[in-house]
Amino acid sequence: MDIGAIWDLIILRPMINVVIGMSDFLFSNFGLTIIALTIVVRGLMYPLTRRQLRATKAMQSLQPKIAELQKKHGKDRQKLAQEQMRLYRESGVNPIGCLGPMLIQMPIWIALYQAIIRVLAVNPESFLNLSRYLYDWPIVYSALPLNNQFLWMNLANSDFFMAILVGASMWVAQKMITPVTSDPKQRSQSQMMTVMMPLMFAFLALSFPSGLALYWLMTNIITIIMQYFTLGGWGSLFPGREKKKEDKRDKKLKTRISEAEAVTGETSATEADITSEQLVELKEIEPVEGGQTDAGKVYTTSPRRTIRRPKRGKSRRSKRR
Amino acid sequence: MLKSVRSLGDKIALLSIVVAVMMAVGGCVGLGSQQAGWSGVTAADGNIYFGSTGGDVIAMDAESGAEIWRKPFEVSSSGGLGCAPAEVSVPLYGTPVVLGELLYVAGFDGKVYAINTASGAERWIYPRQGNLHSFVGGLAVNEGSLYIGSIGGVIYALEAETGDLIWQLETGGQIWATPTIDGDTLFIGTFDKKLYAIDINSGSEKWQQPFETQGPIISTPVVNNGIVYISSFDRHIYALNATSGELIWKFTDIEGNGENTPQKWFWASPVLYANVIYVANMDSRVYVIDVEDGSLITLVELGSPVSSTPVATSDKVFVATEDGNIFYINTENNLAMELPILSGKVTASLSVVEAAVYVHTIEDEMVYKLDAETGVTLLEVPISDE
Repeated sequence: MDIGAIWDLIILRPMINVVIGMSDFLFSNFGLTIIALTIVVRGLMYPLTRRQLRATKAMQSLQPKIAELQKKHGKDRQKLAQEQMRLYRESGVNPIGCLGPMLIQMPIWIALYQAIIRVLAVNPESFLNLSRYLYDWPIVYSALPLNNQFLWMNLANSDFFMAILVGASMWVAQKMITPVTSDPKQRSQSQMMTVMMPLMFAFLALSFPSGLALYWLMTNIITIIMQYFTLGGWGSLFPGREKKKEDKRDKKLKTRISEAEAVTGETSATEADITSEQLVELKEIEPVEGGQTDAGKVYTTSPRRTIRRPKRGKSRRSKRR
Repeated sequence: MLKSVRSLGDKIALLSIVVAVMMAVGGCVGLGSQQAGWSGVTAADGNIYFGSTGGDVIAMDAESGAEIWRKPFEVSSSGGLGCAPAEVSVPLYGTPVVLGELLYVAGFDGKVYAINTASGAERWIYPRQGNLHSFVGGLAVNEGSLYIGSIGGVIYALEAETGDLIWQLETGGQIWATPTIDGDTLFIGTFDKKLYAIDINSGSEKWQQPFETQGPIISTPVVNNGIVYISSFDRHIYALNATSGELIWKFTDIEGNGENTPQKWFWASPVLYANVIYVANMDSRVYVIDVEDGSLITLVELGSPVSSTPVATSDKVFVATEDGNIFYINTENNLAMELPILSGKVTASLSVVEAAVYVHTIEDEMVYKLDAETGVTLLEVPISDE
């Protein structure tokens, strides 16, 4: 048995039959089935996606330090590489940590994509070919053919508006995780990626059945939602808004420190002088597997915990009492 | 290693692009199978006619295989990414039919063409302008009229001589089936899982309501002695009263899930011979059924799915499998005899004309002429895509 046959037997056939079976519970509507299946599959993949996103974010958070290292050791490649590895090690960041989850998920995405194409059966030959993937479940035989009409679209035909939606949603998803970097070369590469990928997919969506475009659109929407909640905001999509949020957090933090100092009458110069950038940096280094900084302190994602309240003296609340 | 780590972001981006391109290219070449059509062969006046996978209608001498004429059918591409050229050939699925001096062909471009059998010149096109929904099923001919169903679910009756519309009737689902006519009634199955009986003069439905199965019907019904036999994707074969549409019997015990249960679709149409029905299934078996009560006489294992409709000759039923094996089943003892393997896949219906069986294979495209008595290959003609 060749690898194609194994792939069909273990992954593609079950996926196709599940697609058809699910549609029976969704009014035999293929549009609803695509949406539901994308949500289910992406939901099941969420733990992996979360790990991947966090690893990516952790890598991005180190970019300012990497840029500094490049500036410092730009000419000495070996030294630069050593310093970068040291930085990764000390930050608890695995530089290829985001690749594993991505690679594990890829076969599932591809199988889902192939299943949708096959069930769409855009021509008689495809429909005939579909029969070789079907189980002898009565539900599979009664559900076919699926209703390809969804909203304003025939899912077997391309749709201009869907192509625009695919491009726009992909741009948002890409933009959210585009790293902010001061390196002009990296910045231009990131910008190119942010524009090229959505353009390419929008172009593809124009040529392919809108059922496939619907799958891409749903994937993008789910990705956006996952990124929003996993990374805690819109990321690079609204940098101003994120900056405001951070400033607000800093302000709160500084107020708390001032209050604490007022209570104790002491100034914790090192803590009070921590800038917003440093706070964000500290916050973002840690997320991967409880990594430690070189100072040996364990940081968490919450900026509240990055600075401890002075232990000496009583808190304001206890003093009021 | 260190260098690769440095440019990891780029690599992830690159990987994403590669995956996207792979999916896109996979879609480009794998958005379902490539469309080529599966026209069967028809014969008249010493010539054979069929639609090639290149979108041409070809006329050949039935004895020598010499090409007489070839008429290409092309349509402008709807554009897209550039996977398709500006002009694409029209897939032809239904077997052409001959009536008098005209050959009739229905294309996936949603047009019916009447062509002069001698010259290949076009006589008329329906509709005159624009296109209907695509045609996958073939045409039925009866006393100067043509009948065909489109994937838009509409049945059309046309004047064979002029191509004028006589009537049209909208059904509830796509039509891929070729209709059959018995007396003044047209029978046709649809994707809405129903079999319709229609008055060919008025275009009105004859039964109180269409007969409903649990799966789409794309096979051509067989009518004999007032009984309609039809197979469905629901894996059943039905015998119905042709006048009322009432069920007489149903094969088989699907719910019992026994070893005689059909496992896949009945794509091919049933064939009747001497009170026995032969129905090929996509599960690689031919179900041989007694027309009296729908009981199973025997099963014939062929080893590969069958989507091509078999033909019955004097005492044999010829069946071709998708992977190019051809058999005849001796109707005396229902034993299958395997003939030399054909080159290419067979999805087109077989046809029998004047003691010869014609087979049109796709992929390695060929037309075969077999002796209906012995199964011996009389002619094999490779079809070039000129």
